[in-house]
Amino acid sequence: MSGPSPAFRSAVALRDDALAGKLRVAEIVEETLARVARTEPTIDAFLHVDADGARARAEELDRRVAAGEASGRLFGVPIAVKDNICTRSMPTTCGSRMLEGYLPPYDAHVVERLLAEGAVLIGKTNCDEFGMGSSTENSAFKPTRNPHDPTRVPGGSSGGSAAAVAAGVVPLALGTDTGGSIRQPASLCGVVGFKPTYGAVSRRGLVAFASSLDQIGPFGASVLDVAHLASALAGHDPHDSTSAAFEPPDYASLLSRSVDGLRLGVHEDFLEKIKDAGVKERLRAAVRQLRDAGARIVRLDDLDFLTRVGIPTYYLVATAEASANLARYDGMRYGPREEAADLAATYARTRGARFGDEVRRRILLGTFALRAGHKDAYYERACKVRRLVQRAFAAAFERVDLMIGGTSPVAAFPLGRNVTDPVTMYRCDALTVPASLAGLPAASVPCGRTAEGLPVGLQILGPPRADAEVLSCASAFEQLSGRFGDLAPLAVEAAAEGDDA
Amino acid sequence: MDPGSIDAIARLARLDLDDDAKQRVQAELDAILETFRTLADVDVEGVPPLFHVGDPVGRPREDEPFDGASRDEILRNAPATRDGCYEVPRVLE
Repeated sequence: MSGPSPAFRSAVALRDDALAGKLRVAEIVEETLARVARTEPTIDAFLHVDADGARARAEELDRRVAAGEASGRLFGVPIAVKDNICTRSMPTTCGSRMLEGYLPPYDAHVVERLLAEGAVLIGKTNCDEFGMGSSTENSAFKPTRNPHDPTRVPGGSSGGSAAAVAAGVVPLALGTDTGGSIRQPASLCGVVGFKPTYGAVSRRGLVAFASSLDQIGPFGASVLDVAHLASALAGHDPHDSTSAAFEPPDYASLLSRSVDGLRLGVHEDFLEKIKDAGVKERLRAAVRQLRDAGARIVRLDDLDFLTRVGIPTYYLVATAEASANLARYDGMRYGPREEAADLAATYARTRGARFGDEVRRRILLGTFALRAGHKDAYYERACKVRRLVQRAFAAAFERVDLMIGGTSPVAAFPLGRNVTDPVTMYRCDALTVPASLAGLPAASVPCGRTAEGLPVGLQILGPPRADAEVLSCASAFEQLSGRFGDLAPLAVEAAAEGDDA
Repeated sequence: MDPGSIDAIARLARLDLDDDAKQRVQAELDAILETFRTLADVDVEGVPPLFHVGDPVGRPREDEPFDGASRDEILRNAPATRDGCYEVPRVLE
């Protein structure tokens, strides 16, 4: 069992030291940039590193400390941001040639919140193009590699953020989750990932993929750090009409709860029917640990429906929304333009040349699902099934407090293995898309490694707005497992080198 | 999905695809749609579609002007500009 990596100091510890003046933010930033330099040749987690901006920010924050004016839940904490979240100070490409060099005229709401809490933005992390993928191999610029085994993928689509945390580069990162894009890479990289309830976090400044599903959330090496960042992100934004009216509690202050008496639902599709023996064994052990600690494990036998319909329902809804959302990329307002004979031909040439294979595939699938004559059979039918998914979860949550199971049916797979086989790649999302369809809060917490040394994540799902309960259970499990982050050997090596220097 | 449909969908989506890409995408979409057939077996009689899981009540905010981005910041991303405006291909002959 691994303890905290020497490379890792928690965001909370860094913040407390920075606020107390024991550690200059400039030192934190220099150390972070040194780690970026040591790990990037192996993992390629970043699309853009803003060394100058981070140093200037550190100076500003250190001046606040000197003036006795320092405050903020994330004061001095270096944070990486997925490249589909708008940042005024850094390019935002969504991993796409369509937005190569795009410099947003404003910061996303969540970025404003990070800055207001005293965070330092380190850079933008690699992702599958527009968030479409489960391995980060669909980035137009480069694949990111898993810090636990660089021949394998980090998961996706927020693979750069997960890898940056797993490699001990940053204690916290922002990702986005449409069908599992925070939870699945968290699982494959051995870090904590959390998708808040749909609407808990404003989407203003998040480049839209599927608007009824997209949600921003945190990655971290411990649940406590993730809870702090989740609290900082959540809350109503008058500029996002889909952001919920509720003001979330301070999640971090609610984490000490034990699992004694907690009713945890388990369905066999999320556990016993997982084919990968190494993954299944770690998950079984996690369930045993929770039971031994007093949780009541409740078998939910009537939820086969969720995994049977999850993938097709999700992929029809998400691609239909994507086909509409991505209509804005036409070579007129941003991105490069590929001139052709007339306007329509210019649109088609620009889009054909600048979107990658998976994005084109999803736009076409979504266009098909929405096409006159097909809409009833595909998109609308999927939305009706989505209602049934929501009802099935609602019925389950009358019997249990939370649900637990696997995050991903597989551990990190080799680069290149699934990239030409969309059907197999989509199946990687089987255990994460049900919660997305119902807008539920869900976390992935490390629960050990396979015999090959690859991390496995335990997924914890709650009813809408049970974000605090999900994080609390995740924290209780983390204490049981004694596994505060499961950082990669690379992080340990990087720290050791740093100590020698 | 017949070859005519992939052409029609690509046209609707304003996406240029060469013949190789069309053939490949058609085979991929066929394979994807084949695995989606499980949805056809679900009884959805009388089930209202769920388009959105969020809070259904919109809350209008005060209509207060605020400083948006500057013209320069917005136009710096444009592929072509002229006289402080977007320059686009001719739409009307």
